[in-house]
Amino acid sequence: MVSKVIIEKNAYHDSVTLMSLSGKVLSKEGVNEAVVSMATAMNKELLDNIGLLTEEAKTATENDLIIAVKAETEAALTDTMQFIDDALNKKKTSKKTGQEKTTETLPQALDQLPDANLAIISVPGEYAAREARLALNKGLHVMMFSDNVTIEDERALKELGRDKGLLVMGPDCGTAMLNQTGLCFANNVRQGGIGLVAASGTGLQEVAVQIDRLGYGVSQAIGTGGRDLHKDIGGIMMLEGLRALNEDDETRVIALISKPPAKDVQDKILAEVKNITKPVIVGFLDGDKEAVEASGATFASTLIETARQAVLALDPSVTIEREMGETLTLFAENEQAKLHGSQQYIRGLFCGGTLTSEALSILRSEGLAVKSNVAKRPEEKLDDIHASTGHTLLDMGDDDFTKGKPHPMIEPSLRNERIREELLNQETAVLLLDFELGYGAHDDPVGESIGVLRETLEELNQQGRHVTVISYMCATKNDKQGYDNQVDRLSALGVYVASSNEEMSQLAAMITKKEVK
Amino acid sequence: MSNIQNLFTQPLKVINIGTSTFKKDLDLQQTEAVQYDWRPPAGGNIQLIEALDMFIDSDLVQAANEEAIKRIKDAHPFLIDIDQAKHVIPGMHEKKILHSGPPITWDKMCGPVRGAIIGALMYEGLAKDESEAIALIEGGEIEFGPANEHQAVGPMAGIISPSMPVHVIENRTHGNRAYCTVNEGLGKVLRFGANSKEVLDRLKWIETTFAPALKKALALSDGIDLKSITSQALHMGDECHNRNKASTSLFYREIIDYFLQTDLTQGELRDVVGFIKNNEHYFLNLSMPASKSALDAAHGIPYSTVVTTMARNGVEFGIRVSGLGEKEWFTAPANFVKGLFFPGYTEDDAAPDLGDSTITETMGIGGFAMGGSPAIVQFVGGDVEDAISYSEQMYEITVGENTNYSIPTLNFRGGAFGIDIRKVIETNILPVINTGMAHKEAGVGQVGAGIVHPPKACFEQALLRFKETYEEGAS
Amino acid sequence: MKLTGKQIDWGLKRFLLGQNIGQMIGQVVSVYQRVINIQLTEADRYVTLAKSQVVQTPDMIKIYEDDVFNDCVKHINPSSHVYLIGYNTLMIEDVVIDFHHAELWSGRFIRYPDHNEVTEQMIKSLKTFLIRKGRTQGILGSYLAVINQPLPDPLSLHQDALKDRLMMFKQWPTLDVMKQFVGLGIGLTPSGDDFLLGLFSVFYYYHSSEWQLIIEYKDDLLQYMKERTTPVSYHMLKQMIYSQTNDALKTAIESGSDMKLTDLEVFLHIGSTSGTDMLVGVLVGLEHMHRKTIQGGMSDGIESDHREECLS
Repeated sequence: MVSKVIIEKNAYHDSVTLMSLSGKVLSKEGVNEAVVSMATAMNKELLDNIGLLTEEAKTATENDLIIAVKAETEAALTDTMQFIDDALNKKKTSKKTGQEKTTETLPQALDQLPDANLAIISVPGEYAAREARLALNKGLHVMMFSDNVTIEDERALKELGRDKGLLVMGPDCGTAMLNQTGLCFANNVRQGGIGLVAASGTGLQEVAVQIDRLGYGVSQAIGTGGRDLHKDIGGIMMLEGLRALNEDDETRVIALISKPPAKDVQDKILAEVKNITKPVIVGFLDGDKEAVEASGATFASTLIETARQAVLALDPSVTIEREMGETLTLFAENEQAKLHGSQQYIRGLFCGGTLTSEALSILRSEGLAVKSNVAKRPEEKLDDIHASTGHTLLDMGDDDFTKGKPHPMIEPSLRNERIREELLNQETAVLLLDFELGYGAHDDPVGESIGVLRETLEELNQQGRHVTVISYMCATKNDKQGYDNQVDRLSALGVYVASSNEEMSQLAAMITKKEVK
Repeated sequence: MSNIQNLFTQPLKVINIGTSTFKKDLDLQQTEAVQYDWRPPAGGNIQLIEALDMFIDSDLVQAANEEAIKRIKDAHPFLIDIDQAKHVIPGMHEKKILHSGPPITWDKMCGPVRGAIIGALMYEGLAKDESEAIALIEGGEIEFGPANEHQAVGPMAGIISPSMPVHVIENRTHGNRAYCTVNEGLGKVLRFGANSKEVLDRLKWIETTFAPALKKALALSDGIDLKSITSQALHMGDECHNRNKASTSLFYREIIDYFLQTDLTQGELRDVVGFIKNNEHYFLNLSMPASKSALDAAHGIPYSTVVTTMARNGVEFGIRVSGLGEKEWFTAPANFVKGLFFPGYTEDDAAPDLGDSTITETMGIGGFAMGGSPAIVQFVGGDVEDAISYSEQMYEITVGENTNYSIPTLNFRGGAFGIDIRKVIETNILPVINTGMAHKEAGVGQVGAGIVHPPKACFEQALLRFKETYEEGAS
Repeated sequence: MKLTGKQIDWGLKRFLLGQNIGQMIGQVVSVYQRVINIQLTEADRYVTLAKSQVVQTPDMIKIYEDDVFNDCVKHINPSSHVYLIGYNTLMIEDVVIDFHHAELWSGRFIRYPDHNEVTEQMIKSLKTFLIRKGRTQGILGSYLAVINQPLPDPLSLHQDALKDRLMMFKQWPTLDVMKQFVGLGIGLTPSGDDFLLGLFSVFYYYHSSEWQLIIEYKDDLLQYMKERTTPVSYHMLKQMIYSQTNDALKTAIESGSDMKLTDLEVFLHIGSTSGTDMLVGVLVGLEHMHRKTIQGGMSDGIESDHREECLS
């Protein structure tokens, strides 16, 4: 039999809380006696009678709360004390964070939150650098969602950050996940042993989501901003992130994600990779496989491959399905049967820029000639972004589309006009749509486009026509919008929801290739 | 490097600067976060931002400001005498008239100020009526000057003419003096531009009966401690600009004993003492020069960005800064006051902001102490919470807290004082002022009261000039 | 933030009228979900600020805006100063409490019955109610054990101790035995204290000799209670000794034999077991008074304790 008595001085818990606490504690396994009462003379006498009046309890006054527990085992006792502590103190922290006053100056904000350690900056670009500098000078790590910051300012900030040992995530950094918290646009991903450093927002999201789908998790996900690997910046933050993850106890595998950097920058990064003790996966989209492998890292050419390699590095016993399942092949055949001769092409309307690039890469490797508004290769560049020709993949979030308007991830309705156009176009065989859920994204992305999809598909149906619509939802089961509900509504319209961007692209290729005999 | 490790092992505590939607998602994840509603600093003006960045962290400026507020806080004003302006105000002569606010020429002056000047010239005997007065002025015979440049201050029109008696205030800590006329009371009075016989007669009475009596009483005393009265009055619901009931009562209590010791007849005594008793704002004309004497002591400290004067002449609002010139004013068109109007009057009747009484806000009382004077709130058309908020807001733009003038409703926190032009620009928060409104026509009187802010342009100009002056030696 | 007073104890309002405006009149001592307690500086009183549905007690101001109260609770801390800033306005931190238009309430028992009769019917209805709906985790459990009613759970340490005292009280209803209840039991207001509140209210209302005794030894009793129980309980009992009590108890007792079910159900929402504990005190008090009546009759105005016919 073991016992413990704790005194809570000047406790402010109301009777109902105390009562329910008493009840719960008594019903816990291994607890013989539990007394939760105010330290009045009479109550102390009772405690004395059962041998629980410690010295501390003797000196407690009527304003203090006595919690006395007698349990069978040490383990039961510790357990119970923890339970009591949680129950009583959870209320306290919620009282403090309830202070909802907004502030108008940085000193005010620091007054309210003196031990702040991160500043998220989303102010207009021309002022963002200044705010970031002020924050860094106060010892805060910085995440800059803002873009339109000059390259000189970005370099100066990242050098300042590096000198102070602080993170400068951005500018133009839309995603990060630190300490199990999603920052700006991020998904609710399982916690685990894979650390990520990414120069792309949606790229980071997709890799993290695929890791989660494979049943594994992310320790930290650092965003560097889209321009970090530019030759004038030199990958400062990617290097810092890489080193930091190498030191981090929770991280066992590191993955880097980006579009391919300039050669000098790539060399710098791969040189650093050689010094890293943990397994490194380098996911440079369409990158230089040889150089990467020479540095001792594993190469991945797509986002999903990065996720797979990272998981394999963490747990080599995992089996990864790479073949298209039978159900999918059947689905593809079914769809082909419904298409007319004129319908030959894939039209992809994406919200996520890196997903567009990944799809482009996958279709290319399937032997298709694709054009896009975000293509790097000259032969793949789209002449008129408002007129699709052949296989076309569009990043609807690109500056050319979003001038003066919100990004489609926040305001999905922008895509809707184009959705209708492409569906009605006689040449379209397959329409690809991505949806992003999670923090920062729209409350109901599917809901925004379901109307135009339903109506237009109805119209097509009445004309006896059919277009295959395949979608991909970049999300986890725990995202706040409700994954299942979003998926169900699409499925109800006959839209196939793929499990990855890769699957969506490969399926599209399969359907259209057969047509081009 | 280790700082990033630290971040990974601590709970995330975020300051969200900009779009509040990101904070909402942080709340969902139960991450501690504060929302900072960002606005472009200095209204987005690049030049100002540069000026700001140059001096915002400057140690030289910080030290100079500390010195400035030390002087303001240590100043100890006493009412020691009353005498005619021409005898005590430096630079005063027979044909000179002082006015409130920054420098201004006759042709630009507003109605109430002109009316008051005309009245003053008649009072002096230099003109028999309005047309003679105007002829005198247009003939260039009369010299005008801001009271503030002569160690003096005046409420509303603030007209001081040579023969008018002025209170003499001595700042015993630093030795300098300040001057202000005797408050005539409410209704048709010179300071609102009235110049009828009644007004002039009253002015004469003040000169020939009241002032000599007060002079005798003061001679018997060792000076009346104005700092002590102000400090107590702030705990009694006064803010010493628009509410002076308590301070006037305390002054009355102090001076009455000395009056009783003079050789005044009972009739004279009753008249003189009754004059003070019946004027709820008597102390305003002591509160103002007391503040002036403290602020003057703090003017002229190199590198200091503390505001030492705020004043209006009915057309322009002007400020002076400690680290810049004695006669360097930064002016912009004065705003109109927002508040309550007396029955029968509307916005169209009001003159723009007028008077030197903002010297009280410059000192950190008046509007700054509104939080402790909830009674004023009804008068200026707000809520008690608003009053408290205003007072609290002022801490953002000042250098320090004056524990001599503490505000009960803010847990006896020292009142915010030492307006810093850098902070005004940085935070976009302007000093708050409680004030009365004059009718735009001379002689009608007060038409309401409310809250007004100085034009931001004054502070912007001041900061740019400060940069010009000090950028060579900026640390 | 602003809170508007819905109802205020007249004694409190009168007290505040006598204070100086601008003065700090007290400090917050505790902050709960539905109630904030303030210790006055100039008087030994606890002022309570409460949400709209809380049962009114002496020295309490109830407010309308429950949601605003919830916000206030998050940033008013113990030791915050409380200021009187107007004739009918208090201020704590940035919260203003305006009770200009609050309804006046008094905790004094207004009606004195013509004849102090406690009927068997009254006792029976109250007892039935308690058995059926009362919360058994407080002194009710002990009472039920005494009358040999089946119980859902075995008695806790405190309930056992209370049971002993209930049995003692039945034999010797003396001041010393009553003192044994002070500070005993779980909850912010220990069950023993709530029991005494109910008991005392019956003694007071029916002008019993026990009440004379309590008044005679009032100072001693108050000092004893101050040292032996929580401040909240102490002030509650002190008010009772000064003839004031909470709205629920007042209504229930004043209605005598007209006691309604709805009046009793209010008690189930006071604290967790506090309300029930108070009713147990009332029940025991009524039983005690009734016993005295049947033992020797009260028609001559002399309580049967003092008569030879007294059987126990």
